[in-house]
Amino acid sequence: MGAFISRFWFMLFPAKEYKIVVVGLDNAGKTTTLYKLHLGEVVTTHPTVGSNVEELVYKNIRFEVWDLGGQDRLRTSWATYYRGTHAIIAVIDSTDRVRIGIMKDELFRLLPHEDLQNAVVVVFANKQDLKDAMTPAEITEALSLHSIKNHDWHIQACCALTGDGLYDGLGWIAQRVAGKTTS
Amino acid sequence: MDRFSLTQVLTYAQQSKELASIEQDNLAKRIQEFRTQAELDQFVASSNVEASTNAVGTNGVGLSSYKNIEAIMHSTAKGEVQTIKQGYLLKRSSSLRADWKRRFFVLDGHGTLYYHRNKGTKPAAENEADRMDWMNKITGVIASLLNSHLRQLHPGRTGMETNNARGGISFDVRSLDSHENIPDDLKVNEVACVSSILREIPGNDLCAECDSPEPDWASLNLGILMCIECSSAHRNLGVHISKVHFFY
Repeated sequence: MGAFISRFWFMLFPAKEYKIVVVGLDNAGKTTTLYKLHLGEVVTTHPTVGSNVEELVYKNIRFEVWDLGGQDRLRTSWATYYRGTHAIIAVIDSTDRVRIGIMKDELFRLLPHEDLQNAVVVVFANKQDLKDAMTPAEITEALSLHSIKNHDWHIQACCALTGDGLYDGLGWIAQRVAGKTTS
Repeated sequence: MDRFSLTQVLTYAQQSKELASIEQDNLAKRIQEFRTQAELDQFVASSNVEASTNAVGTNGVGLSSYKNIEAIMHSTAKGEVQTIKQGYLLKRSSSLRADWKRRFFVLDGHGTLYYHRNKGTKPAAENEADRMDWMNKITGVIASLLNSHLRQLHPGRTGMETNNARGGISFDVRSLDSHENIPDDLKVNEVACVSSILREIPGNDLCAECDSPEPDWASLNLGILMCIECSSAHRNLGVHISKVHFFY
């Protein structure tokens, strides 16, 4: 009986699920971010080989979040995950001034992809708890985010260890993607 | 009714007890930080190496003392060998038992760290500040050695010195960022040459932690290579302690 009701319920109100892809260089904090959002705790991570996927529910919106490996030999396979993506989360190690240029190249390589034409972009400026971290403004400059014309984008300072800022970024995504379907 | 309120009182008491203990922990941590800072300041004041960098303070590993170590290394190149730091450290013996022994270590201006087997039994200051000071100096020396390597390869480059002021060591590949005008393929070349430098350092053909062959993860500030398992341990320490990157 209960199963019947729930089936009926979902027939009336289909639960829409949105797909998010998490990208970034190795050791930026993608896996930590995903599991902080999913479990609310910091897990001991290992370098991701392949991908992790979890389902999050935030503000009654379901998200399917794909966390991809960031080593440069794995970055070529990112494109295989893009189909049907509603939002991209780019996680940046804010202390890594050396490789921010590489991240910029990667970001501008993925944005023109045809499967991502309607995706919104959130840049997580991670590791803000460290003293040497770049500010979101510096990162905006270094990634030249202002030159992105075809995508909605947003930069969010965060710290995946404490969880500061993570839900703000997810809230922005929720607002954008949910708003898009109703319009 | 009575019982109900009793359980309430009990949970309330437990909660406040937990809160108090958390607060106490935080306080103890802060006291420890403060003490370390004070001891560190004392070090800075007493050591001739860092006499001029009082104002910079100690923001992270090896940031303030870096320039001075660079200066000492330069003067060493001209002929006079200076000792950067000496004192007692624990060394893991290479025998099967792999236990830790106290040895008198000296870090000199050539960038070599060596120890004497028998040198007195003077009690050494082994505390948090001393440990940080050692770490600062060793990472400073590593950074300076790697930088001098880079300079030999690119004698014309002057970006290094100006960039060091921004703080952070990790042998400043970051100076590449300031060279906005250099073409991209050159940047890639430089990253590749950094990895070849790391690869050539004796001992880097094995994982620095577990001796497994063909390590492909690098800690840029420590100048070591690791296997994927040990790299995850280093990654979990945080990027301010060990800056682990996948190795190109």
